[in-house]
Amino acid sequence: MRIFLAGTQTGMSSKEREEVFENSPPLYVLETFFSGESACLKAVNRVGNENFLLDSGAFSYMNGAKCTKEILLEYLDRYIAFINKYDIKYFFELDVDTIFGIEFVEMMRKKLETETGKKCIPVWHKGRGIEYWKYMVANYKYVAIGGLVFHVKKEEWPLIKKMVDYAYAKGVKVHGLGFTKTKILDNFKFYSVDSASWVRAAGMGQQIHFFDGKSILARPLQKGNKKAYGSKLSAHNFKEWIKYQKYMNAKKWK
Amino acid sequence: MEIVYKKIEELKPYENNPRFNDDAVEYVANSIKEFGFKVPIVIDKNGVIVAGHTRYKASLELGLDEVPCIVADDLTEEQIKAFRLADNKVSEKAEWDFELLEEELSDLDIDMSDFGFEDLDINLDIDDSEFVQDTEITKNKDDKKEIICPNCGEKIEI
Repeated sequence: MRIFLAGTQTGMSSKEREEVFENSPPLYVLETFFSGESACLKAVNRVGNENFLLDSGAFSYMNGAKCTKEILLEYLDRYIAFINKYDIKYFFELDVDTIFGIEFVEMMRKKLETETGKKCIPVWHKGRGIEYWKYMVANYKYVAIGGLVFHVKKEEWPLIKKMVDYAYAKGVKVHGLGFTKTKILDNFKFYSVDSASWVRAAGMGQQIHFFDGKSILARPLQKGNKKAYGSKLSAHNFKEWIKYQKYMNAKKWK
Repeated sequence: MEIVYKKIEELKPYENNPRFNDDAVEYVANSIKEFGFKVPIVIDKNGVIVAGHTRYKASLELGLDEVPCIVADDLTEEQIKAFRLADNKVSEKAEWDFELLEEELSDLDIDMSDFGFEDLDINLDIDDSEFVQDTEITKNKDDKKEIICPNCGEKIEI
Protein backbone atom coordinates (compact mmCIF):
# COMPACT_ATOMS: atom_id res chain seq x y z
CA MET A 1 0.00 0.00 0.00
CA ARG A 2 1.21 3.45 -0.89
CA ILE A 3 1.18 5.95 1.97
CA PHE A 4 1.34 9.45 0.51
CA LEU A 5 2.67 12.01 2.95
CA ALA A 6 0.75 15.27 2.71
CA GLY A 7 1.68 18.73 3.96
CA THR A 8 5.37 18.28 3.20
CA GLN A 9 5.82 21.98 2.54
CA THR A 10 4.62 22.83 6.05
CA GLY A 11 5.78 22.22 9.59
CA MET A 12 9.51 21.89 9.05
CA SER A 13 11.86 24.81 8.51
CA SER A 14 13.23 24.92 4.98
CA LYS A 15 16.67 23.85 6.25
CA GLU A 16 15.25 20.85 8.07
CA ARG A 17 13.03 19.97 5.15
CA GLU A 18 16.02 19.92 2.81
CA GLU A 19 17.98 17.74 5.23
CA VAL A 20 15.13 15.28 5.63
CA PHE A 21 14.50 15.02 1.90
CA GLU A 22 18.22 14.60 1.31
CA ASN A 23 18.86 11.96 3.96
CA SER A 24 15.57 10.04 4.16
CA PRO A 25 13.46 10.91 1.15
CA PRO A 26 9.81 9.87 1.25
CA LEU A 27 8.54 7.39 -1.32
CA TYR A 28 5.24 9.12 -2.06
CA VAL A 29 3.99 12.65 -1.59
CA LEU A 30 0.59 14.31 -1.97
CA GLU A 31 0.37 18.05 -2.39
CA THR A 32 -2.68 20.23 -2.68
CA PHE A 33 -2.98 22.77 -5.47
CA PHE A 34 -4.22 25.22 -2.86
CA SER A 35 -0.64 25.33 -1.49
CA GLY A 36 0.43 26.96 -4.73
CA GLU A 37 2.13 25.89 -7.91
CA SER A 38 5.59 26.29 -6.46
CA ALA A 39 4.88 23.90 -3.57
CA CYS A 40 3.33 21.37 -5.95
CA LEU A 41 6.23 21.60 -8.34
CA LYS A 42 8.76 21.10 -5.55
CA ALA A 43 6.84 18.05 -4.36
CA VAL A 44 6.58 16.44 -7.78
CA ASN A 45 10.25 17.10 -8.47
CA ARG A 46 11.23 15.44 -5.22
CA VAL A 47 9.46 12.12 -5.74
CA GLY A 48 8.72 12.03 -9.47
CA ASN A 49 5.42 12.01 -11.32
CA GLU A 50 4.70 8.32 -10.69
CA ASN A 51 4.89 8.82 -6.95
CA PHE A 52 3.01 12.08 -6.70
CA LEU A 53 -0.67 12.79 -6.12
CA LEU A 54 -2.18 16.20 -6.77
CA ASP A 55 -5.20 17.18 -4.73
CA SER A 56 -7.35 19.99 -6.09
CA GLY A 57 -7.59 21.81 -2.75
CA ALA A 58 -10.87 23.26 -4.03
CA PHE A 59 -12.55 23.03 -0.67
CA SER A 60 -9.82 25.00 1.06
CA TYR A 61 -9.86 27.48 -1.81
CA MET A 62 -13.52 28.20 -1.20
CA ASN A 63 -12.63 29.35 2.30
CA GLY A 64 -11.82 33.02 2.09
CA ALA A 65 -12.86 33.38 -1.52
CA LYS A 66 -16.35 34.51 -2.34
CA CYS A 67 -18.02 31.23 -2.96
CA THR A 68 -19.10 31.49 -6.58
CA LYS A 69 -18.99 29.03 -9.43
CA GLU A 70 -17.17 31.55 -11.62
CA ILE A 71 -14.30 31.87 -9.14
CA LEU A 72 -14.05 28.10 -8.86
CA LEU A 73 -13.97 27.73 -12.64
CA GLU A 74 -11.03 30.15 -12.81
CA TYR A 75 -9.31 28.01 -10.18
CA LEU A 76 -10.07 24.93 -12.30
CA ASP A 77 -8.45 26.60 -15.33
CA ARG A 78 -5.25 27.14 -13.34
CA TYR A 79 -5.41 23.55 -12.07
CA ILE A 80 -5.74 22.25 -15.62
CA ALA A 81 -2.89 24.47 -16.85
CA PHE A 82 -0.60 23.14 -14.11
CA ILE A 83 -1.48 19.51 -14.86
CA ASN A 84 -0.80 20.06 -18.55
CA LYS A 85 2.39 22.05 -18.06
CA TYR A 86 4.01 19.45 -15.81
CA ASP A 87 2.25 16.41 -17.25
CA ILE A 88 0.86 15.42 -13.84
CA LYS A 89 -0.27 11.81 -13.96
CA TYR A 90 -2.51 11.38 -10.92
CA PHE A 91 -4.84 14.17 -9.85
CA PHE A 92 -8.17 14.40 -8.03
CA GLU A 93 -11.36 16.01 -9.20
CA LEU A 94 -12.78 19.14 -7.52
CA ASP A 95 -15.17 17.37 -5.17
CA VAL A 96 -17.18 20.29 -3.88
CA ASP A 97 -20.48 18.39 -4.03
CA THR A 98 -21.69 19.77 -0.73
CA ILE A 99 -21.35 23.37 -1.90
CA PHE A 100 -22.42 23.32 -5.53
CA GLY A 101 -23.99 19.89 -6.02
CA ILE A 102 -22.89 16.84 -8.01
CA GLU A 103 -24.01 18.18 -11.41
CA PHE A 104 -21.57 21.07 -11.19
CA VAL A 105 -18.84 18.71 -9.98
CA GLU A 106 -19.52 16.44 -12.96
CA MET A 107 -19.35 19.38 -15.34
CA MET A 108 -15.97 20.37 -13.87
CA ARG A 109 -14.78 16.76 -14.05
CA LYS A 110 -15.66 16.60 -17.72
CA LYS A 111 -13.81 19.84 -18.41
CA LEU A 112 -10.82 18.65 -16.38
CA GLU A 113 -10.62 15.37 -18.29
CA THR A 114 -11.29 16.88 -21.71
CA GLU A 115 -8.69 19.60 -21.35
CA THR A 116 -6.00 17.38 -19.83
CA GLY A 117 -6.78 14.34 -21.98
CA LYS A 118 -6.48 12.17 -18.86
CA LYS A 119 -8.82 10.55 -16.38
CA CYS A 120 -8.91 12.22 -13.00
CA ILE A 121 -9.40 10.41 -9.69
CA PRO A 122 -13.05 10.93 -8.77
CA VAL A 123 -13.77 11.30 -5.06
CA TRP A 124 -16.74 9.54 -3.51
CA HIS A 125 -18.51 11.08 -0.54
CA LYS A 126 -21.37 9.58 1.41
CA GLY A 127 -23.81 11.99 -0.17
CA ARG A 128 -23.16 10.45 -3.60
CA GLY A 129 -24.66 7.12 -2.60
CA ILE A 130 -23.66 3.53 -3.32
CA GLU A 131 -24.90 3.48 -6.91
CA TYR A 132 -22.49 6.31 -7.66
CA TRP A 133 -19.66 4.25 -6.19
CA LYS A 134 -20.55 1.43 -8.56
CA TYR A 135 -20.56 3.91 -11.43
CA MET A 136 -17.11 5.19 -10.43
CA VAL A 137 -15.71 1.66 -10.13
CA ALA A 138 -17.14 0.70 -13.52
CA ASN A 139 -15.68 3.74 -15.27
CA TYR A 140 -12.35 4.46 -13.57
CA LYS A 141 -9.18 2.53 -12.76
CA TYR A 142 -8.33 4.72 -9.76
CA VAL A 143 -10.97 6.18 -7.45
CA ALA A 144 -10.98 7.78 -4.02
CA ILE A 145 -13.11 7.87 -0.91
CA GLY A 146 -13.22 11.23 0.83
CA GLY A 147 -14.39 12.31 4.25
CA LEU A 148 -12.61 9.48 6.05
CA VAL A 149 -11.16 11.74 8.70
CA PHE A 150 -14.21 13.50 10.06
CA HIS A 151 -17.29 12.34 8.25
CA VAL A 152 -17.14 8.57 8.38
CA LYS A 153 -18.36 7.26 11.70
CA LYS A 154 -16.88 4.23 13.40
CA GLU A 155 -19.96 2.11 12.68
CA GLU A 156 -19.55 2.92 8.99
CA TRP A 157 -16.08 1.39 8.67
CA PRO A 158 -17.46 -2.07 7.75
CA LEU A 159 -19.42 -0.41 4.92
CA ILE A 160 -16.28 1.33 3.67
CA LYS A 161 -14.45 -1.98 3.84
CA LYS A 162 -17.10 -3.62 1.65
CA MET A 163 -16.82 -0.77 -0.85
CA VAL A 164 -13.04 -1.08 -1.02
CA ASP A 165 -13.29 -4.89 -1.35
CA TYR A 166 -15.78 -4.43 -4.18
CA ALA A 167 -13.42 -2.15 -6.10
CA TYR A 168 -10.41 -4.37 -5.34
CA ALA A 169 -12.21 -7.44 -6.69
CA LYS A 170 -12.78 -5.53 -9.91
CA GLY A 171 -9.17 -4.45 -10.17
CA VAL A 172 -9.84 -0.80 -9.38
CA LYS A 173 -7.38 1.08 -7.18
CA VAL A 174 -8.86 2.93 -4.21
CA HIS A 175 -7.29 5.89 -2.47
CA GLY A 176 -8.40 6.65 1.11
CA LEU A 177 -8.24 10.42 1.41
CA GLY A 178 -6.80 11.52 4.72
CA PHE A 179 -6.77 8.03 6.22
CA THR A 180 -4.66 8.31 9.36
CA LYS A 181 -5.74 5.33 11.43
CA THR A 182 -2.62 3.24 11.00
CA LYS A 183 -3.73 0.59 13.52
CA ILE A 184 -6.69 -0.48 11.38
CA LEU A 185 -5.31 0.36 7.94
CA ASP A 186 -4.25 -3.26 7.44
CA ASN A 187 -7.92 -4.26 7.32
CA PHE A 188 -8.61 -2.25 4.18
CA LYS A 189 -7.45 -3.10 0.68
CA PHE A 190 -6.67 0.47 -0.19
CA TYR A 191 -4.15 0.88 -2.98
CA SER A 192 -3.11 4.17 -1.42
CA VAL A 193 -3.92 6.59 1.38
CA ASP A 194 -2.55 9.95 2.43
CA SER A 195 -1.94 11.56 5.75
CA ALA A 196 -0.74 14.86 7.12
CA SER A 197 -1.13 13.78 10.72
CA TRP A 198 2.65 13.76 11.18
CA VAL A 199 2.65 17.57 10.87
CA ARG A 200 -0.77 18.19 12.42
CA ALA A 201 0.26 16.21 15.49
CA ALA A 202 3.45 18.21 15.78
CA GLY A 203 1.83 21.58 15.25
CA MET A 204 -1.49 21.36 17.01
CA GLY A 205 -1.63 18.31 19.18
CA GLN A 206 2.01 18.46 20.25
CA GLN A 207 2.29 14.73 19.80
CA ILE A 208 5.41 12.83 18.99
CA HIS A 209 4.97 9.92 16.58
CA PHE A 210 6.89 6.65 16.52
CA PHE A 211 6.81 3.79 14.07
CA ASP A 212 6.58 0.66 16.22
CA GLY A 213 7.31 -1.80 13.44
CA LYS A 214 3.67 -2.11 12.34
CA SER A 215 1.85 1.16 12.94
CA ILE A 216 2.34 4.70 14.20
CA LEU A 217 2.20 5.33 17.92
CA ALA A 218 1.35 8.81 19.16
CA ARG A 219 2.57 10.07 22.50
CA PRO A 220 1.50 13.44 23.94
CA LEU A 221 4.35 15.68 25.02
CA GLN A 222 4.51 17.27 28.42
CA LYS A 223 2.91 20.67 28.47
CA GLY A 224 5.47 23.43 28.47
CA ASN A 225 8.05 21.38 26.64
CA LYS A 226 8.13 23.99 23.91
CA LYS A 227 11.65 23.16 22.81
CA ALA A 228 10.37 20.01 21.22
CA TYR A 229 7.53 21.72 19.40
CA GLY A 230 7.48 22.93 15.86
CA SER A 231 10.00 22.26 13.16
CA LYS A 232 12.17 19.65 14.92
CA LEU A 233 9.14 17.68 16.06
CA SER A 234 7.64 17.81 12.57
CA ALA A 235 10.91 16.57 11.10
CA HIS A 236 11.04 13.72 13.63
CA ASN A 237 7.44 12.69 12.95
CA PHE A 238 8.02 12.91 9.21
CA LYS A 239 10.96 10.54 9.41
CA GLU A 240 8.92 8.06 11.48
CA TRP A 241 6.16 8.19 8.89
CA ILE A 242 8.69 7.49 6.15
CA LYS A 243 9.62 4.28 7.99
CA TYR A 244 5.94 3.40 8.12
CA GLN A 245 5.65 4.27 4.42
CA LYS A 246 8.40 1.79 3.58
CA TYR A 247 6.84 -0.90 5.76
CA MET A 248 3.42 -0.50 4.16
CA ASN A 249 4.91 -0.28 0.69
CA ALA A 250 6.02 -3.90 1.01
CA LYS A 251 2.52 -5.06 2.02
CA LYS A 252 0.47 -6.99 -0.48
CA TRP A 253 -3.09 -8.13 -0.08
CA LYS A 254 -4.13 -11.76 -0.27
CA MET B 1 19.06 -25.58 -18.28
CA GLU B 2 19.21 -28.62 -16.06
CA ILE B 3 16.55 -29.44 -13.53
CA VAL B 4 17.80 -31.43 -10.56
CA TYR B 5 15.83 -32.96 -7.73
CA LYS B 6 17.02 -31.98 -4.25
CA LYS B 7 16.01 -33.23 -0.83
CA ILE B 8 13.94 -30.53 0.82
CA GLU B 9 16.28 -30.51 3.84
CA GLU B 10 19.17 -29.62 1.54
CA LEU B 11 17.55 -26.27 0.70
CA LYS B 12 18.20 -23.20 2.84
CA PRO B 13 15.92 -20.16 2.84
CA TYR B 14 17.81 -16.90 2.31
CA GLU B 15 17.96 -15.27 5.73
CA ASN B 16 17.44 -11.72 4.45
CA ASN B 17 14.59 -12.49 2.08
CA PRO B 18 12.75 -9.13 2.02
CA ARG B 19 9.35 -10.55 0.99
CA PHE B 20 6.32 -11.38 3.11
CA ASN B 21 5.00 -14.56 1.53
CA ASP B 22 3.16 -16.45 4.27
CA ASP B 23 -0.25 -15.45 2.93
CA ALA B 24 0.58 -16.96 -0.46
CA VAL B 25 1.75 -20.36 0.78
CA GLU B 26 -1.71 -21.94 0.93
CA TYR B 27 -2.48 -20.97 -2.68
CA VAL B 28 0.88 -22.18 -3.99
CA ALA B 29 0.40 -25.47 -2.12
CA ASN B 30 -3.03 -25.82 -3.75
CA SER B 31 -1.47 -25.13 -7.14
CA ILE B 32 1.22 -27.81 -6.63
CA LYS B 33 -1.45 -30.29 -5.54
CA GLU B 34 -3.67 -29.52 -8.54
CA PHE B 35 -1.09 -29.10 -11.30
CA GLY B 36 2.12 -30.63 -9.94
CA PHE B 37 5.46 -28.90 -9.30
CA LYS B 38 5.80 -27.05 -12.61
CA VAL B 39 8.13 -24.19 -11.64
CA PRO B 40 11.44 -25.30 -10.11
CA ILE B 41 13.06 -23.51 -7.17
CA VAL B 42 16.18 -21.56 -8.09
CA ILE B 43 19.08 -22.11 -5.67
CA ASP B 44 22.74 -21.11 -5.53
CA LYS B 45 25.58 -23.62 -5.43
CA ASN B 46 25.27 -23.83 -1.63
CA GLY B 47 21.57 -24.68 -1.72
CA VAL B 48 20.45 -21.22 -0.60
CA ILE B 49 17.16 -20.25 -2.25
CA VAL B 50 17.39 -17.49 -4.84
CA ALA B 51 13.82 -17.57 -6.13
CA GLY B 52 11.00 -19.74 -4.81
CA HIS B 53 10.70 -19.19 -1.07
CA THR B 54 6.93 -19.57 -1.26
CA ARG B 55 7.22 -22.80 -3.24
CA TYR B 56 9.69 -24.03 -0.62
CA LYS B 57 7.25 -23.27 2.23
CA ALA B 58 4.40 -24.87 0.29
CA SER B 59 6.56 -27.99 -0.24
CA LEU B 60 7.15 -28.23 3.51
CA GLU B 61 3.43 -27.86 4.13
CA LEU B 62 2.70 -30.62 1.63
CA GLY B 63 5.37 -32.84 3.17
CA LEU B 64 7.35 -33.25 -0.07
CA ASP B 65 10.68 -35.04 0.27
CA GLU B 66 12.20 -33.79 -2.97
CA VAL B 67 11.64 -30.71 -5.09
CA PRO B 68 12.80 -29.73 -8.60
CA CYS B 69 15.56 -27.12 -8.56
CA ILE B 70 17.69 -25.12 -10.93
CA VAL B 71 21.18 -24.40 -9.62
CA ALA B 72 22.18 -20.89 -10.68
CA ASP B 73 25.90 -21.67 -10.59
CA ASP B 74 26.54 -19.44 -13.59
CA LEU B 75 25.77 -16.27 -11.59
CA THR B 76 28.11 -14.29 -9.35
CA GLU B 77 27.12 -13.58 -5.76
CA GLU B 78 26.14 -10.05 -6.69
CA GLN B 79 24.06 -11.25 -9.64
CA ILE B 80 22.28 -13.74 -7.39
CA LYS B 81 21.45 -10.99 -4.92
CA ALA B 82 20.16 -8.79 -7.72
CA PHE B 83 18.17 -11.58 -9.38
CA ARG B 84 16.54 -12.48 -6.06
CA LEU B 85 15.12 -8.95 -5.86
CA ALA B 86 14.46 -8.49 -9.57
CA ASP B 87 12.50 -11.74 -9.83
CA ASN B 88 10.06 -10.46 -7.21
CA LYS B 89 9.99 -6.88 -8.45
CA VAL B 90 9.08 -7.47 -12.06
CA SER B 91 5.81 -9.18 -11.18
CA GLU B 92 4.67 -5.96 -9.50
CA LYS B 93 4.80 -4.19 -12.84
CA ALA B 94 2.26 -6.43 -14.53
CA GLU B 95 -1.45 -5.74 -14.17
CA TRP B 96 -4.60 -7.71 -14.89
CA ASP B 97 -6.97 -6.92 -17.69
CA PHE B 98 -10.03 -7.67 -15.59
CA GLU B 99 -12.43 -8.02 -18.51
CA LEU B 100 -10.27 -10.69 -20.16
CA LEU B 101 -9.62 -12.31 -16.80
CA GLU B 102 -13.35 -12.56 -16.17
CA GLU B 103 -13.78 -14.25 -19.57
CA GLU B 104 -10.97 -16.73 -18.90
CA LEU B 105 -12.26 -17.57 -15.43
CA SER B 106 -15.78 -18.12 -16.72
CA ASP B 107 -14.48 -20.86 -19.06
CA LEU B 108 -13.08 -22.91 -16.17
CA ASP B 109 -14.76 -25.55 -14.01
CA ILE B 110 -11.79 -25.61 -11.62
CA ASP B 111 -12.44 -23.67 -8.41
CA MET B 112 -9.98 -20.81 -8.89
CA SER B 113 -10.57 -19.43 -5.38
CA ASP B 114 -8.14 -22.20 -4.31
CA PHE B 115 -5.44 -20.12 -5.98
CA GLY B 116 -6.43 -16.75 -4.58
CA PHE B 117 -8.87 -15.56 -7.24
CA GLU B 118 -11.73 -13.67 -5.73
CA ASP B 119 -15.20 -13.61 -7.17
CA LEU B 120 -15.20 -10.82 -9.75
CA ASP B 121 -18.97 -10.77 -9.66
CA ILE B 122 -18.87 -9.61 -6.06
CA ASN B 123 -22.05 -7.82 -5.08
CA LEU B 124 -22.11 -4.68 -3.03
CA ASP B 125 -24.98 -5.35 -0.69
CA ILE B 126 -25.05 -1.98 1.01
CA ASP B 127 -27.91 0.45 1.15
CA ASP B 128 -27.48 4.21 1.35
CA SER B 129 -29.65 4.21 4.45
CA GLU B 130 -26.90 2.33 6.32
CA PHE B 131 -24.71 5.42 6.22
CA VAL B 132 -25.15 8.22 8.70
CA GLN B 133 -25.88 11.17 6.43
CA ASP B 134 -24.36 14.47 7.45
CA THR B 135 -26.10 17.77 7.45
CA GLU B 136 -24.66 19.41 4.41
CA ILE B 137 -24.94 23.03 5.43
CA THR B 138 -25.38 24.31 8.97
CA LYS B 139 -25.64 27.72 10.57
CA ASN B 140 -23.01 28.95 12.99
CA LYS B 141 -23.48 31.07 16.08
CA ASP B 142 -23.61 34.26 14.01
CA ASP B 143 -26.44 32.75 12.00
CA LYS B 144 -24.19 32.43 8.95
CA LYS B 145 -24.18 29.39 6.74
CA GLU B 146 -21.29 27.06 7.38
CA ILE B 147 -20.01 23.85 5.89
CA ILE B 148 -17.28 21.46 7.02
CA CYS B 149 -14.67 20.21 4.58
CA PRO B 150 -15.11 16.43 4.45
CA ASN B 151 -11.37 15.93 4.04
CA CYS B 152 -9.66 18.27 6.48
CA GLY B 153 -12.56 19.14 8.79
CA GLU B 154 -12.09 22.86 8.24
CA LYS B 155 -15.21 24.97 8.89
CA ILE B 156 -15.98 27.25 5.99
CA GLU B 157 -18.43 30.10 6.03
CA ILE B 158 -20.41 30.33 2.84
